[in-house]
Amino acid sequence: MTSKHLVRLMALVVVVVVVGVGPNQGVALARRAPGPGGSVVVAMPQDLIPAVVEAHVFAPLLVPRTGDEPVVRGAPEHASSVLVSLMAEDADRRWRLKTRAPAADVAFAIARCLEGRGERRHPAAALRAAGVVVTATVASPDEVLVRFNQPVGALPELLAWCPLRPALGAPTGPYTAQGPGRLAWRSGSFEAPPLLAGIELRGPLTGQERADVVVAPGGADLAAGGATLLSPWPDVIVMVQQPETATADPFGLREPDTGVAAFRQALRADLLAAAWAAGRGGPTEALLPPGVAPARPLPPSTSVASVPLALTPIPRNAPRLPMWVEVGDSLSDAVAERLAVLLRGKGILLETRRNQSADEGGELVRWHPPSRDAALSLLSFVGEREALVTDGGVQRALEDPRLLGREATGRLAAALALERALLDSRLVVPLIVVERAITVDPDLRGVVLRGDGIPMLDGAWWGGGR
Amino acid sequence: MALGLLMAAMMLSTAPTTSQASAAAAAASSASATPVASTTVGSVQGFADEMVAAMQDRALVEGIAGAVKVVFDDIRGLDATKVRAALLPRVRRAVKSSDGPLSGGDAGPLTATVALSEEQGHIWAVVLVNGPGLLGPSTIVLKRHIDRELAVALGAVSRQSSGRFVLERVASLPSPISGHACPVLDVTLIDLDRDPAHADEVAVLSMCGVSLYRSDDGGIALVGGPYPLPARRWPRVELGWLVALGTPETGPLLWAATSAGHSVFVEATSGRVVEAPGERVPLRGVVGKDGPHALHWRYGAPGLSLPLVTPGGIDVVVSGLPNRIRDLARLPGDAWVFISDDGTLALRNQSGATDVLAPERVGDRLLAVDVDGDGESELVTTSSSSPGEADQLVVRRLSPNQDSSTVLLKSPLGGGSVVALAAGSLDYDSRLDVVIVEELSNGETMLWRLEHAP
Repeated sequence: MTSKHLVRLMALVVVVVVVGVGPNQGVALARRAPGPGGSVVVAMPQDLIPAVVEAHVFAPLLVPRTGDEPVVRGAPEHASSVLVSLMAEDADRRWRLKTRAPAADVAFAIARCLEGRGERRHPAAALRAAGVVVTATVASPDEVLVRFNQPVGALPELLAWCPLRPALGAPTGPYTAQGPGRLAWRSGSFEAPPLLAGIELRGPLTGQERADVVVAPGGADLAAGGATLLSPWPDVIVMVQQPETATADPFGLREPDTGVAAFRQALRADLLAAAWAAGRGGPTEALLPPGVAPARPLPPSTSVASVPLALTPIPRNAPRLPMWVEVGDSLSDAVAERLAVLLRGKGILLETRRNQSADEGGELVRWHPPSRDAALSLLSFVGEREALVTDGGVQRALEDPRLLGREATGRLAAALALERALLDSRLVVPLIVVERAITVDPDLRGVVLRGDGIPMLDGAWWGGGR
Repeated sequence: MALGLLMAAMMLSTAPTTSQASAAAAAASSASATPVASTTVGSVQGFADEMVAAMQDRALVEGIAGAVKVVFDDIRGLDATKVRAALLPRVRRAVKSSDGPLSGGDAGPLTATVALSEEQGHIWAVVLVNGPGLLGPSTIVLKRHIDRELAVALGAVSRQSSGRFVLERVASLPSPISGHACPVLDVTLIDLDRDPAHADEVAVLSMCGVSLYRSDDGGIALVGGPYPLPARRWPRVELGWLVALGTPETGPLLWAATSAGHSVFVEATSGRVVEAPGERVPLRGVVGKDGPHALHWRYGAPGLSLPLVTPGGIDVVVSGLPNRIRDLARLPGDAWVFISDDGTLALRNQSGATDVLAPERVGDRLLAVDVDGDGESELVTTSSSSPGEADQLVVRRLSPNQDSSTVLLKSPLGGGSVVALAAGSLDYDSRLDVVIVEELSNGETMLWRLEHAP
């Protein structure tokens, strides 16, 4: 046997061994097993970078169960590398959490996630909207006690993807931060070690810059090549009006004969989605998108005759409607321009605002429901916009105890009632449903777009001989 | 079909009524000390009872009472006719016979509007109760796993997967003759090494002949050909059809036909080209035990003519199909999906009736394959764009009674025109891949892969 034959034989042995311990079943069938090493460059909006860093540096307390992961006692729909069990007491007002991690770290992480503490956390916003107060304390070295002022049966859903972030910020996940936007693999994670050695996170691409993963709010650039990953559920472009704006009704939504139907017809959401979202979207009358809520009865829309817009000159001192619009999303910009045209036909000027607060007028939001749970998603939406709670119907819907109950169907029923109350209030006007997608280099395998829209690379590897 | 109807009739006729069930429950509660046989309630009846019980519970919480009119408003993913025939009467009867503040009555004053849908293997019912005594609609939600009875009685199809897809640009397809443009006419996947664990090779029919490519290590490489076709004059409309055949005796074999009049067999390993039955076009979507069926062809015309011809050369008459079509595929149960000469996507069902599946015209090629692994074929087509215009890939799911379709995915590719579609295994996983060949405006040919992402 020559040395060349020996090398081939050794390579075969290595391949056979690695295939046997492949990270998932699909890979095990592959001719080429994934090899560790390499790094990737990820381009994304600046405001998304902290969330992606956190998702890779800190292990999640719970994740929705997708396969054969071991069941967490007390939360059969979830898996965890940190928590052993969640046991409810006192009619879901008190929860005992057994943990593999130090209880002090878990208690700190839970408090941070459920209280918010100055950060935008959707579980904290959801609890705030429902008027729930929470405390998390250490009961023993391996047990955490979580207390609520009212029953909260949906604690496992609230803790999904909450990061185990200790007080001192020591990493608990597969990567560690090595400077701004740079992540390097580490040992000692609560999860399986990653394959990629490094991840570089940077802002949106400019000029000739290239990246291996591109996250753009306006959608992926397919012409640039690469795989397109779709989020498990789409975004919704929503117009949120302040109460005084809804009362003034500049868009004529409350007009008895035409109202919302005429507004939607004039908006032409289908054309906007075709032109600015590569056809990956269309008009919607619902706030909760497919994938988060099933089919349900919606208020019937009446057909109205098409009326040409009256685009007559308007004076400079015409009334103005301030509208906050998200930065960097071309579809939101296009919708704002169309709204400006519609308002101009009524003698009103639309004043687009970018970085100021949305305390007056309204805002145009590209909303990604943060959870597949309709109740938690809607609660967080309301919790981040206090003005919505001023509506009587919304207040009544928020008082439904099923919203944070243990039963998924009960939560969904209460969420649909809340959705209807929001739509009836005319404070919230859903306009377009649009897919959320990212572009990934074709050689980069195993990239996952988490349900809340965060791209995860802890299970990714370079294929194709790189 | 007849068996399914018979089963449904048997299940519906044997399902006990609510009064029987409640009588049994009352008997059980009054004699709790003595063991009683459990009462089996059918899934449809059980679902109706659950719905009514939830409505009664909610009515107690809301403090409302009176007659309620039940209306089925929106039915998605289920057979609306079957739902209205099987479930609605049971719900109405259950409201009348159940104990609680709500009673049955077509005049109201309360109204329960029900939306039913199928989502990932479950039937969801969203009920909105409206009427006097309520400040706003009261919402009730139920879900139930789709079992065999629900599947048959309501036309529900148990689908564990959601409609999410990954569309990946695999590589630029190199011309088989360096420096020479070879427009692609059709593509198919062929297993050259006969090893199911390995990916298939990509066979491409172009105006330069038949070429074989292998996708590996992040690129695609020419591994065979081009095996040129006999010289013939090409018409203005250049079309081609390529189907993988192959028997243990012959080895991997391809049948290529073109609008120039070629009809040849190509041995994939040796490249030997032999004449095939003339003036016939093989169909990838209609394959019998002996091989693919064929349609008749006319020089330079994009349409194909019936009758169908079996591999043995026997004409097969399928009533209900138009005389000229662009593409044809057969679904299980003697249903035929076809693209008519004017680009209409339609289905001829078991009884011979034809239903239009899409309101818009579609491109010339059709694939009927189970992309998401749910046991039902999806329909993959392109948009009806002219050559040179930006094309779109469209994946449709047939309704349970096969009279309409819903779009699961509609996506542009790289701004070019889709020239060929095929299904097989391009990578090494167990999921089916759809391979798409796109011609860009700059003359580049791009290979895409569509895969379901569970």
